[in-house]
Formats: sequence, structure tokens, C-alpha cells
Amino acid sequence: MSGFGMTEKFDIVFDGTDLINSICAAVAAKAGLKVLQVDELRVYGGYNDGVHSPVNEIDFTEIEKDGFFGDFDVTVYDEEVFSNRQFLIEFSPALLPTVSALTSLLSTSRLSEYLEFRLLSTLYYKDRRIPLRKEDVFSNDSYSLVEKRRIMRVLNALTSVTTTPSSPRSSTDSRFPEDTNATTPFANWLEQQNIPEAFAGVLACLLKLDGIDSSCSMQDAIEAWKRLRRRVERFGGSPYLVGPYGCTSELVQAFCRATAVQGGTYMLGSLLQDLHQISNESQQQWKGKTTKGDDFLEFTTKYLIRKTRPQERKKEAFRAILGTDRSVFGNDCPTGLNTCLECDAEGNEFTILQLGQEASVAPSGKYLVYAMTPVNETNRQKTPSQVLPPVLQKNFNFTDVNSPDTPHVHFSILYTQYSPAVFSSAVKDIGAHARGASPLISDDLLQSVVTILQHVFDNADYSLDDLFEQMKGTVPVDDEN
Amino acid sequence: MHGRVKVKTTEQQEREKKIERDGKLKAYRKAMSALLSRRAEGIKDDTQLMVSAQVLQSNPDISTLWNIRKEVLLHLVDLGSNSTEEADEKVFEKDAVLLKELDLTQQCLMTNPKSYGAWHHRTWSLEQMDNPDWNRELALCQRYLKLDERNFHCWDYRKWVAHRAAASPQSELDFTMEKIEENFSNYSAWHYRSKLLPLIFPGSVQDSIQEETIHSELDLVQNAAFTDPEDSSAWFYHTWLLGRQAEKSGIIYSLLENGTLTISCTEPIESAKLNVQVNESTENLSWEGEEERFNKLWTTKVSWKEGTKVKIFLSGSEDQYLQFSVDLDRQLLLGEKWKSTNQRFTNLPSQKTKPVLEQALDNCNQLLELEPDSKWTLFTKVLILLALDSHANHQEIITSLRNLTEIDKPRKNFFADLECRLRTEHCIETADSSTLDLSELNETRIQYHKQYLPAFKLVKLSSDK
Repeated sequence: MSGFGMTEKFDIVFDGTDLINSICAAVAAKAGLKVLQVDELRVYGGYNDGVHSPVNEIDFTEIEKDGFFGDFDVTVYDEEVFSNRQFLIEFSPALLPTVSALTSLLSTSRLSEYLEFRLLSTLYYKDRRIPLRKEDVFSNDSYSLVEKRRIMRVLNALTSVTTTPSSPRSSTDSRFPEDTNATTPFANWLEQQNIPEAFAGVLACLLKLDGIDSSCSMQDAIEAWKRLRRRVERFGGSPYLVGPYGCTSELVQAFCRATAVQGGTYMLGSLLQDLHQISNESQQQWKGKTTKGDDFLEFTTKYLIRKTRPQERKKEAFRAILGTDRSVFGNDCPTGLNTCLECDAEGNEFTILQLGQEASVAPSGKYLVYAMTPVNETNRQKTPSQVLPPVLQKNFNFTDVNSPDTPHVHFSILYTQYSPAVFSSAVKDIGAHARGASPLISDDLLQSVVTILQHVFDNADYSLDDLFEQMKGTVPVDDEN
Repeated sequence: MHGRVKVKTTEQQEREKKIERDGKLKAYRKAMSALLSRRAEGIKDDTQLMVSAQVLQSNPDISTLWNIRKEVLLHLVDLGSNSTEEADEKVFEKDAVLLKELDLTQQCLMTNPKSYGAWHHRTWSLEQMDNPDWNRELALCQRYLKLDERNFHCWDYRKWVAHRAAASPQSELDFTMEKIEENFSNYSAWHYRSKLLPLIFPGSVQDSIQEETIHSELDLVQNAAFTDPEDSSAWFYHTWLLGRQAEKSGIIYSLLENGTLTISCTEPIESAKLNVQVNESTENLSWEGEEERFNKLWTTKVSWKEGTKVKIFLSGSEDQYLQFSVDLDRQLLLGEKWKSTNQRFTNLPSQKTKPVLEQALDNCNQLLELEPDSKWTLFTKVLILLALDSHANHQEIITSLRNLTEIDKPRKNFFADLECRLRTEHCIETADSSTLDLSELNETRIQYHKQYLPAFKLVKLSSDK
């Protein structure tokens, strides 16, 4: 055998370079542990969090085998455009809220220095721009004067309530709107406010995006709204950030870079083999090998974090990726970073994220459109090709003539996203889950990271705050400013 | 002990701070006394510039220091222009020196972006320069307004710079629109608009605006007012749009009775503006009035024979004259400005404007239904009612004003006063030719439109007087 081989001892071996594993690796490495991260694919992030690949180079069969995405239905309307290597797709892109645990982590650790985010330009509901601030309501063309006032009254009512449970209710600041209290159903109160139906739909959608159902209580709705406002005000104007290429893959790379800088080892395009437990001084130990062609690395490690498919594979979302020839939002949005929230006839909610040249995902003048809708009990038995087209056809033109109004589609990829991976220490399920089907990167992600780290640091009290503390200043300040 | 971090007590910190403060105060006093005493000696040199710069950087509001700088600079510039080529190696380039002033003011503005002294000194420096870079100044305004879009110093400065840079009013208007879209709670932006609109869309009378423009501005500002009725800047602008168009001063009436000639005008004027021609030649009369120089009401004694032809007009408005032949009776001649047009103090709106105002009134009423205590909305409603028809809407106006005194108690006297004025106007508007009944006002003295009183033979004040 002519391969190159070594033997090494590690503290933790991570199977997979998805986002959660990568963050764990970065923290562990910063804490001084010796880390090895292995991934079967040659790129960081795995199919879920990485792989921004030219669209025509994707091996869909391989991805199906991986198990997290499937039922691919690929149609190419325009061979030439499809072959353009500048179309870089991800399978589950996401928006990063401007105020969130992950955003805080990125700034405390200064990993944000490795990244370049852009503010999502606009948020639409169906065909109307969503007003999030007073200024948006002011310049909005679709509401009458009195409607605007009613909308502002609702927004103000939601904002002016302080809902900290510990402080006793003072007379002025923590008043819930008239005739309501913390547990009143939000929808009931909203109906009485006489706001335009379109805007009521907007509010419901915004809450849904944040994981809150419209049947929630006043308290939940108010807290969600306040979160949204804080997010809008952080950088001024929009609650969400879009990373390059659709977000997640670059995040993964930033954390992996931090790990490597702290001495972590990476083996990409490598398989994990010959894993077996060995007992050494009553402590669990693992021995294994990673191979890449003829080269190999034999290792022993105390901890092995594995990412496995869940026992029961369930559909989570139906998704689509389209390549189009112009912005679906018209001339209003030249930057091509937009999201719109839609509903189909049955009331299923769709999120459409449009990225353009500015996110480096499409050639000049073209756009990449990601659409997704969560699976529910009524459509669970269906296929992506049954669920997605009605809404897509409303907004896009799939036939190959130059349509004057709607964007023309060059290619479309419809698929299903299945249940996310489960993390285990190869001894037991740690109780952490990979990122599921959501258009936002929620705080649950870091919660999963904390759960894994509790196991790895052998400290049940390890918390998010400890994580922040540990990662402080991971990227040193540049003294030559 | 070895290795322990010394944690300073707060007392110690206080003491250290005090020492620091005392040190600063001492340095400041030393610098100031040096500057002032050297100035008293007539010294105008670089040291003065250096020391004053140091003090100004921490406190840019000391006008004296800016003025000292101006004196020194003028002196040095003077020297420089008089020096021959063989003189100092330091060639005195005026603009280069003044550029340093710009740098200094820029630094000071970072300390206090609202320093009158710094802004003024910057203005002064630019005026002294031979080739000022106006684009740089516009960019500066842009930056400062980004930091604080309500900095009125900067807006004012921008207006001046835009004028000097010959920036087009349209581009300036677009700029105000940008700022308003970012945050419409901005007095300065709306104000600047009010200055630009007469330039871009001039109306028929000087300083007025085209009707269509007023309508579109009303539409714009109502959007702001409705989005946030608590924001007074939008309502202020709304009020201005509804305001009465400026009119030239004119004669309300002339009255000749028992040898006394009275001339009444809409605005206080100087008696020199009064022209009285008797039989085609100008009379030199000595006028009397309540105030020494400017009055709305002027009287003089005349002894004209019956049949004398008299012509009265104001300087600058020879075409609007009053003319009569003297007779023995009381002679009252109503001028152009008698109760403006249509017997109302506020002109009736044009055909095009009327529906716009009616729509605005409707909007206000709808908003009041939602928010009956919104004082700005109610006040604006009063102004719209006035603009539509002060006569027909009188009762509703008074009722609304009464409501306002309840809703906005701190300003109840403002509304009461306004009510008094409007009632006076209404009484004058509805009076017949000889009697003016002001009894409903229940006032012991008349505050408004006093210049109208002599026109009536009988003025009733209150029922028991």
C-alpha cells in the first residue's frame, strides 16, 4: 500500500462538518481540546448546511442516498443557463435574524470578521411590502389613511406592553390592550381591531416565521412582535440577514476556520471506518480510522460525536429551487435579496427567498429563488410536484416564452426535506437535533450545541453564557487599524 | 501583598477625578488669560491660533475664541497679500490657511455638532476663501445629517451651501424627501421643503406655491400625520400648507368725519406710505397713531371744503386707490381689503382646492372617530373649516375650539384667544353697515381688528355696558 498513514490521539472526533458539529468543534478547540472533524463530502457543511455547488454538477442520486433530502424532480427549461457555473445552490438556505443567539455569538467571537452579511432588503406578504416600522407604514401605497392609522394603533399596542413576569404590573407601562390579558387569544383581539385583512395576514405570517402559531396568546404575540422590532431596529430596516451563497455554508466555514486556527484537524472527503470502543482505565475510548483513497489516519479519542439519521424518517418540508431571469418583486428590488410570504388556496404558508447577484449565487441579471412550505397532516402524503407548483405557477412562468410580467424559469428543482439528523455520542442519543426545515436559523441551533458540549465537557451545568464567554475574541483584534 | 490586583475605592476614584478636573480647569484658565492678555496687547500671531485651537477642541462654544481667530486670520492674510516675494519663506496662501480652519471646525463639530460658534466660523472661513470646495461641504452636510437628521444647524448650513453651490432646488427637494422617508418626524426637513417649493413650483403671487403642489404636499403630509398623529412636525407643515397666502398690505377703508380723516390698513405701515392727493396734488399731512412708527390705523386733521376731490392710496399700490368728493356727511369708503373677498377674512378656496380640503376634513373626522382626544387632528380640523368657509362653519369651529381647551389644558388660553379673534372676525363679517355687535364676546376690551371699529357708527361691547 502506497498510502500515507499516521496515528494520533484526539479528545473529540466529530463526524460531519454540519453547522452544529462545526460550532462544537470550534468551542472545544478554543477550550484547548484536540479536535478532529471528518466529513465524507469534499466540502464543508454536508448537504444540509453546505454544498453551494454549481447547479449542473449536483449528483442528486448521491444526495438521496444521504437521506436528508429526496424525491427530487428536476426540470431544465434552458440548458445553457443551467450549465452556468455561477448558479450556486444550497439545499436549505436560511435567514439569520439580526438579533439572535447565533448573531451574538458571531459578534462576541468576532467570527463575523470572516463573514459578510447583507440585510434582507424587503419582506413581502403576497404582493405587498410588509411595513415593519412607522416609516414603512408612512411610505406604503396600498393602505388608505385610516387603515394606516389602525395598523399603527395595533403595532403600538403590541409594542407598548412590557411583559416581564417578575415585575409587578405598573399602571402605565405594562397595560395590555383594553379587555385583554396575557392569556387572551391573540386572534380574537386582532379581529376586533378592524385592520385591513391583508395586514392581519401579514402579522400572522410574521409570527409563523418565528415559529408562533396565530392561535397564540396575547403574551406570546407581544413577545414575538417585540423580538421582531428589536431585530428590525438593530441595523435599521430589516429583521434578517442573508449570508453569502444562502448563509449556512459560509457560517460553517467560519467556524471550521476558527477550529483549524486553534489547532483542529480536518479530513474532508474521508470515510470513518473500523470504529470500536476500547476500555482504558475505566474511561470510554474510541478507536477508528479515516481514509481518503490510500491515505489514512488512525486515531484514539475520548469522545466521538456522530450524526445519524433518525430512526423514523419523516417528511418535514417541501422545497423548490428555481433559476429565473428577473426579480419576482419587479423593479422595486434591484438588490435581489427579498423574502415573501405566501399562502396557497388551502392556507398552506410558503416562504420564498429570492437571492440575486449580490449574494453571489447567480450570474448577473439572474436570480435564484428558494421556496419552501412546511409539511402538515393534509399534504404529508403528497409529493413536492403536487404541492409546490400551484403557488409557484402563480408567481413564475414555467413555459419557455418571454413573459412580460412574470419571471421566466430556466430550471426547477423540487424536493422533500426529511427529518434532521440526530446527534449521538455513539453511546447514546444526546438529545440534540440538527437544523430542521425552517427559513430562519433559530436559537434552538445553539441549544443543540450546548447540549452536545455539556456531554463533551462532562458538565451538566454548561450553559449558553459559558459558550459566549469561551468564544470571546476568538478572532483577535487587528492592532494595525 | 504580592500578586493582588489593586482595586481602587470609589473615594480614591473621586479624588483622582477631582485632581484631573482641577488640572483641566487650571490649564483652561491659564490658556484663556494668556489669549486675552495677548490680544489686549494687539498680538496677532500663530501662537494665538495654536492656543485657541487647543481650547476650542474641548469647548467649541467659546465665541470669543472664534472671534480672536478671525482677527488673527484677517491680519495674517493681510500680511501675506502685502508681502513681497523675497520676504518670508512661508508663502501665505489664503485658501490653504482657511482650509485649516475648516479642519478645526470639523473637529470641533465632532465634539459638539450643534455648536453655533463652530458652524458660524466655518461659514465665515468659506466666505473668505477664494476657491471654496462646495461639494466637500455638501458631503459634510450629508454625513452630519446621517448622524442626526434633526440637527437644525446642519440643515441651515446646508441651505446656505446649496445656494452657494448652485445646487438645483429639485435635487435638494429630493434630499428632503429621502430624509422624510427615513423618519418623518423632522421639523427641519419639512421646513426646508417649505422654502424650496416656492422656487420650484411658484404660484401667481410672489412666494406662493402652485395649487397642485399644495394638494400633493397635503396628501404627503396627511400620510405622516395619520401614521403618527402625535408627531407635531407633520401637523405643523399641514398647518402651514393651509395657511393664508401672504397678501400685500392694503387699505381697508377711509373715513372722513368732522374734520378727521382716518385710514385703516390690513398691516401696520409707516405713515410715510400714506398718499393723499387733493385736487391732483399731494397733501403733506401729519398723522397720528397709537404707536410711534407702525400702525394699522392713522388719523389726521383736515379742513377741506365741500366738493374737494380726494384720492387716497398706499405707496407701491397706486392702482388701488380710494376716491371721493368731500361733503358734509360722514363719509366711509370701503377699500379693496374690506373683509378680503366674499366678505370673509379668509379667502374662499378655489374650485380645485375645495374638494381637496373637503377630503382632508373627512379624513380628520375619520381619525377623530378613532381618536377623539387627538388635539392636533382637532386643531387641524378647525383650520380646514376656516379655510373652507369661515362664515358657514363658524359654529362648528367654536365648538371644536371649546373641545380643545378641554383636551389640551396647558394651551387652553391659546385656543381661547383664537376663539376670541375668530368671533371678532365673525361679528365683523356678519355686521350690517352701521352696527357692530361684539357683545357675545363678553370682553371688556377688543384685542383684534381694532382698525375696523371706527368704520361702524355703533359698536356694542357687552350687554350691560
